[in-house]
Amino acid sequence: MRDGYVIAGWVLALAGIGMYAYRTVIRTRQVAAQLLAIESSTGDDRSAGSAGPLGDA
Amino acid sequence: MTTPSDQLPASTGVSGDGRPQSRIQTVSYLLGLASVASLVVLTVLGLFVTGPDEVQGEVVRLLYIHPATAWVAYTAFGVTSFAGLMWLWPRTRRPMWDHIAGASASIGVVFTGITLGLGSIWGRATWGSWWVWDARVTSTLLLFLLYAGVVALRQVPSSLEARARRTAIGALIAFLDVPLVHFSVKWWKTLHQEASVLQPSGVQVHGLQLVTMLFSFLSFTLVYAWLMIQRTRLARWEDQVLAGGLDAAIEARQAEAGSDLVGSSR
Repeated sequence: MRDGYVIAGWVLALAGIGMYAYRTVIRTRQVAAQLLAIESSTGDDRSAGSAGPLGDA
Repeated sequence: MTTPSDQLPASTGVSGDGRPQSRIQTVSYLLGLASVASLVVLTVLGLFVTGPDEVQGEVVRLLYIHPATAWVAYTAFGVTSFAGLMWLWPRTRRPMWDHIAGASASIGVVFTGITLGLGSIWGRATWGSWWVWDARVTSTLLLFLLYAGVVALRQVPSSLEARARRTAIGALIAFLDVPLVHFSVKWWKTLHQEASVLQPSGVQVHGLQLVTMLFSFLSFTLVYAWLMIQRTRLARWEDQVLAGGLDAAIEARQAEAGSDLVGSSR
């Protein structure tokens, strides 16, 4: 069995990254829902032809 | 049945059933899969395949991930500062650079926190103390606090331009601490050991230990790249929501003012 410090360290790293990634995905879904609501309320596809996540010029 | 979050708007680049529409979405999807797979392989290598070290014993397994998380933190803050510089330069000023700077700063803070936590655990097992005011450890804590400050500054209500300017200037000032962190082990010769891989005298780690350590750099870099795509997109959408909400509020106010005018003219 691995040392307790080793387990604690690996859990900290993997759980920390995992939780951050999970929060990112959840927040993205929430914001996507808000965008959808705005677009449907205004009937406006304000970013049609958007170049994707990195292209907001 | 679909929920609001299943019906992603046209601006998200993702179809209702979650299939990626744009090339960047496909890259993000593949990066996500590669990140998870590489973390699984890294865990197997680091915890089960490699053996204990002759000097450090089992605790050496922490060093398979500690330098890699620090590397991601350096990279993230480097990207933040570069994006800040691009935003400050009038010819290259685009909202995209602010989104990248904000995303990378946030990821860097998380990875610096993990680096400090891992270092603290390793220090307890090796030095007998959870914390020492060593030059490397202290300058890394300073780095964490500086960029946490940059991330916090972004939350202060202001115009998008003011927020971008604050982020860019803050990131560039905070980045001055990065070389201090990196060279602190050479300049002050305190408790923290010097580099084991990037040494002028040659690599101090060999065999499977070296392979595992290098693989962890690859693995965490993949995670960083995936998070960058996600967080940058999120920052862009949040600004769109803000702008959309503002437009809707203005429209509502104009409609209200219009009905007031009609009412008062009667």
